[in-house]
Amino acid sequence: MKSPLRLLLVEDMEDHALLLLRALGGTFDVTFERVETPQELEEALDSHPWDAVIADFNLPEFSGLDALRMMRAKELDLPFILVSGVIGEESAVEAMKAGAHDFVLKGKYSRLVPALERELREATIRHERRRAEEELVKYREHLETLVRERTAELEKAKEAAEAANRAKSEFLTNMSHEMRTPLTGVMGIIDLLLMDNPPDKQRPLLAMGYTAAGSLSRLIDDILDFSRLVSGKMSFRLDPFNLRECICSAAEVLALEARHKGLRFDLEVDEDLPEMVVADEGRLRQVLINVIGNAVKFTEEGEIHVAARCASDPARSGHDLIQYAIRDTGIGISADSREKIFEMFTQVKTPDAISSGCGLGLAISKQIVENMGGKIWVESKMGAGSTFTFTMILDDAGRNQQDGETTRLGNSPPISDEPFSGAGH
Amino acid sequence: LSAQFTDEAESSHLPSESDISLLVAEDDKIVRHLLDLIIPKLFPDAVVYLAENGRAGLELFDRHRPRIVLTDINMPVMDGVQMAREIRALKPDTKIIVLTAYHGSEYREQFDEIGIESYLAKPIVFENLFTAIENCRR
Repeated sequence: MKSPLRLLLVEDMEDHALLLLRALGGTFDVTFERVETPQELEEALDSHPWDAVIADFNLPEFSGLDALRMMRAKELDLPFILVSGVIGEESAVEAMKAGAHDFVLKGKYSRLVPALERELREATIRHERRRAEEELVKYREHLETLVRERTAELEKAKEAAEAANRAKSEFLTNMSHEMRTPLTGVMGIIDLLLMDNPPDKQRPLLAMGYTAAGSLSRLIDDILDFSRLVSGKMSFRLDPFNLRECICSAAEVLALEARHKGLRFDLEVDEDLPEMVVADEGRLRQVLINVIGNAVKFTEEGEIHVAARCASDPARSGHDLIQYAIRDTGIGISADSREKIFEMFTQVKTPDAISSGCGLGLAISKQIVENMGGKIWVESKMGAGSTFTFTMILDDAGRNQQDGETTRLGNSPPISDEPFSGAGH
Repeated sequence: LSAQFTDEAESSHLPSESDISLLVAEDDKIVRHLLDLIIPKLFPDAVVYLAENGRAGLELFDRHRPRIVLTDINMPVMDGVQMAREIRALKPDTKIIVLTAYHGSEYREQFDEIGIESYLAKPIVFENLFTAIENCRR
């Protein structure tokens, strides 16, 4: 069976064309169009799909090479064979350079069929390769688009997550703020009633109400601190303060509580401690109250010992740090729990656990201590008690304060109460 | 009880030659009322002016010139920061105590700039309130 061939002939001599067609007719089922001028060629190239072009080298209006260039200009990759009566070497070279696939002498058409067959095969291969390449490019572009889309999606998701986190943090901040206002009313009213000499029957009930409201207030503080820690927004204020006074006043409250439980409470503040330091007093107090508070809470008999001393900083030679050690004779903490008690979200379920409150106290303390450049750790023996130790670095500013130089943040008002102490537990 | 909570935004005490006159600016009705009850208990001579927002506080201040101003931060119409700033401009030696439910450094810079006597954390511990007012009398 003959293969179909859509042939575009660029030939001015009809008899030459017929000879040529006859030579092809044995092999191909030819449909053809013959053109003589550039205009006709242009139209023909635009109007139909072609399998091959055979062009005379010399035409009255243009040359076969011109025809080739026109075809190339249209980015058509068709087998292009030049036919000529005479052929000089120069013309042949020029034609091949321009992209002609073969050059056949007029009358020597025996070579035309195999040449055309070969070129059609190669054109097919070329087309297939190009199609494959195009597909590859398309595929790659598709992949790139996918990656771009996915990246954009991830970016969006990340932004959404960050926005959600911000919103959560803001919500917690607003909530705890909103909760404090009515709580102010509750505690204030109970306090007022207590001041008005209530009947003996009512006094303990009112006191219980006040205690419960106070617990709620501390819980709100913890939640707010927690949300600040999570969002990295906890701020620290560096102001000069009297260290000894800070330690003593924090211990005082809990010493009272300890003695109520029948515990011995010792406070030992080293003579060498600098008098004035620059740090966040409220945060230090918060950690002290939290850690000492836990010691009191989990000790049923024996003693609580609180010590503060100056030590040289192992990490920075020539610098001192302050070490606080809170020792109790309480229930102790198992080795497993020792790892976990400083973690957020971890509430140890065993009986030795710190189970009251919202379990954030130590996690918050750890963050605060670390933010102030210190460390916190625990040593414990089940049934024998625990010792919590934390350190606080003393920077040069602290020393400067001691030497009576001007303050770094001299603009702050004297604070008469316990503002922003966050009380902890 | 609710009858006592009618909102007059005015003093329930007659002005006298007392050396303690206070303006309380607080938008929460109960807290405002509570302060109106507790301050005279802590300082029987005190004259208290009550305002439910910064604007009302500023007007009362302008009329009565109290020595001490106790103000909430977040209030409608005019907040505590703005009111404190304007009061400082009107009468620089006014003692200002900021009542805050924000236990953080939000607003602190602004108040540091204005220059205030002290911060009082909510929930209010009466002992601290007493100390804060007492310090302003000196």
